[in-house]
Amino acid sequence: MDYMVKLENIQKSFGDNHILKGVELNIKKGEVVVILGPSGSGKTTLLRTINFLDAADEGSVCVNDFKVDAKKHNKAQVIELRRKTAMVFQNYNLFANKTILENVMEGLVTVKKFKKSDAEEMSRRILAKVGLSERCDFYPAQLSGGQQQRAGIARALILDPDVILFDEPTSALDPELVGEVLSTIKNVAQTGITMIVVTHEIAFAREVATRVIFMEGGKVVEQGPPEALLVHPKEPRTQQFLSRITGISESA
Amino acid sequence: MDFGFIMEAFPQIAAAIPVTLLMVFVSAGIGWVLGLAAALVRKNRTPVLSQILAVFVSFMRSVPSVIVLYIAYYVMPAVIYAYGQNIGWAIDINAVPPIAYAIFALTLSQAAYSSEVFRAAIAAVDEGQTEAAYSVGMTRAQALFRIVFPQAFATAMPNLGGLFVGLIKETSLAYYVGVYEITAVANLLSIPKLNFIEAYIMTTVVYEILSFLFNKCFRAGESRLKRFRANAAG
Repeated sequence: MDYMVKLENIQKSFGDNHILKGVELNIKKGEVVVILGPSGSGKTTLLRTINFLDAADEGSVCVNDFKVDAKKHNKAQVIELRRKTAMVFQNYNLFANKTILENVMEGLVTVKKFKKSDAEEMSRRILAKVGLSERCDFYPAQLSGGQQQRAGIARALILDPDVILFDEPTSALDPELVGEVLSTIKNVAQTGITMIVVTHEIAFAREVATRVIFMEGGKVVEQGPPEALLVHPKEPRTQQFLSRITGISESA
Repeated sequence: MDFGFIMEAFPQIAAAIPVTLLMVFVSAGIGWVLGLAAALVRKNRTPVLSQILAVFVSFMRSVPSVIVLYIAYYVMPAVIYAYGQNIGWAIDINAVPPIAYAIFALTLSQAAYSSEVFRAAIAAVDEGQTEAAYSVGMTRAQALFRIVFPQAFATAMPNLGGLFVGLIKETSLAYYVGVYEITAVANLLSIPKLNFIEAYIMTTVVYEILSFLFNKCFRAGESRLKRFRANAAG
């Protein structure tokens, strides 16, 4: 079986703090995987080891048949791996010194060496798709959080990555802006691109995910289709987490 | 007030402005590039080099500029001469014009001071900016030059402007090692008839005008670099 993303025995510590304790994960092309878990469970760190923003101490990351070993990786491999992935950040992290249009064009022009005119045309098209046609020439600081995050999604999408990594894309947003970003992500999911989403939005997971993973203590506790995991979790720890997060008392 | 002296001396003092500006531009030009490089080395905590630079910066900041100038002027020639003898070269120390030593000393001092300015400005750029650059596949150099530096320079501009104006004034120290810049010319002209007050007034006016003009330039540069900030006119 060929996988789009394959993580083997990912281990990661920050000082004495052992964050990831041997995570294994295989993701097929087109899967939308939602990772849930309490804070400190390592889900964001796991996401960041995939594009080596945090290099794992042990294990290997493989994206679209390009495998990088955590223990003996070099700069060129890391850049190659990052060019197969894209990331949407919790705090958007749009390039502050560039307009929205330039933000989206940047990867195409600087990294993929597209002609500027082609890059601009593509960028305008994708910004229209996320509803930001009117905001192309604005700087990030002039936009709302929801608009910034939609631009962040456009910046990731345009690179046509093998997998998009979403790191709590709605956690920093005002509640009333969450909807617009989630519906944008939903539209992205329908295009069939492989996605890994770290989030606390249970309803979103249920609607959009093809698989839900529950992590705790640096390990995958339980995983399965959204209905099975979210409605009928097997592990007591998953049940406890879900009941707390949804505010419904424990049934088991 | 001897207006005859002023009329006579002012053109000669003004004629020394290019000498002052030569020292300013060369020292700032080279010094700031070195300062930026030093800031990066210290940010990366490159072993050994980073510690050496920390000592260098702290030394340059704690020693009066005039002492640094004297070291450059009196000690360096001896060192260069001795080195020349060592490798069998007869280097004519007297062929080196005094302004070269002054520029050397000022460049080192600019490197030290500007490295602190750049270090703070780079540290002020959110780490997420670099991460985002990496996430779209940029190399370290691309992330620095396209994302981090433009933002850091906007932050650094006011301090660089201050440094630059300070440097204009500091070049007057070159007088001590025999460079005929603004202060030196004014002083020498004032000696025969003891026109010190007139000379000092003229130098004050010249430095004031230079500072004013360059301040304007830095202000303009600052608002251009800061155009992406929320409170800038969009």
